[in-house]
Amino acid sequence: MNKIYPYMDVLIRFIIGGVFIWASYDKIIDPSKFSREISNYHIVPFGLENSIAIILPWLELIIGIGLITGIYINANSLIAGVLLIVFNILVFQAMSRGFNIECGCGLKEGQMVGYGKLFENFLLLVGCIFVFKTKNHIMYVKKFQ
Amino acid sequence: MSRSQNLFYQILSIILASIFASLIFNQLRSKPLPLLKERVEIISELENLNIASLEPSITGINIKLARKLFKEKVLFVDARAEEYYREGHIPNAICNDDFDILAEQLEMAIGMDDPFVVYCSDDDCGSSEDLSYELQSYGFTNILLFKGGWEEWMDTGLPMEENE
Repeated sequence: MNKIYPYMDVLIRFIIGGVFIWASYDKIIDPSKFSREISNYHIVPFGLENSIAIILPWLELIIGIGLITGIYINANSLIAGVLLIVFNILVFQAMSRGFNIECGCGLKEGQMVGYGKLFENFLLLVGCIFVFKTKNHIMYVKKFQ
Repeated sequence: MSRSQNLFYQILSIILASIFASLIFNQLRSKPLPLLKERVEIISELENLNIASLEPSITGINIKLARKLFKEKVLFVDARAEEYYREGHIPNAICNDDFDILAEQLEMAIGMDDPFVVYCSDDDCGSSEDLSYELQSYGFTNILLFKGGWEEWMDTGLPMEENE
């Protein structure tokens, strides 16, 4: 079983990395739209939506590249996990306040907040924990570990 | 260096790289996004509206002004899905899930510089603001955003229309 773990680790890294890169693309292209989607959550103060809309997609992109190429694997999986927890808190608070809004996740056009989104993020979070806990990574850049 | 220290520096470098890359990329845009979001100004008088219409704008309006513009036969655009529009909407408002068709309908009905009002379900929906920015990019210059939307319109007891 232990022999399979490193391969599972690579597969999960590719899946999570791919999802993060895909999610970042539309947001990097159109940060104004992403900023308005963040505003719809009614939780960010002082007009900081724009700053988040500018920086967050690049963080997602760099995490995605890092996980796929094997650079700073543990740090990237840890940040990805923290982000997914924050995303789920935001989605959950929007749902509990009765907001029927687009999640602004960047994966699917028009995807709304809901239990499906929470579950999707939860699965990715489990993947991040698996990658973070894996000791013997394969396919990584030795210099950047 | 301990493992946790190493992890801390790696996290720090990833975050700093993201901030650096994003700010550089934003500055290279033809229209960089300001770091702080400017709120849509909400006006309540028609005089202010005339001033606002001198240059391309998206101006927020309150229920009082929305009612006044409705009486003056200004066109309303429903940014909600057609499904909700059919259940009830502001009389004579237009709606289409397809943005291109909606923009063509608008172009046929009014000039690019004429004012029109965009609304969605309520203050929390956000789709009216999204549509306003898309229509502004399309070329319409005088867009009025009724943030209170359908909910406030109904709460005030103003007329409605159904298309079943």
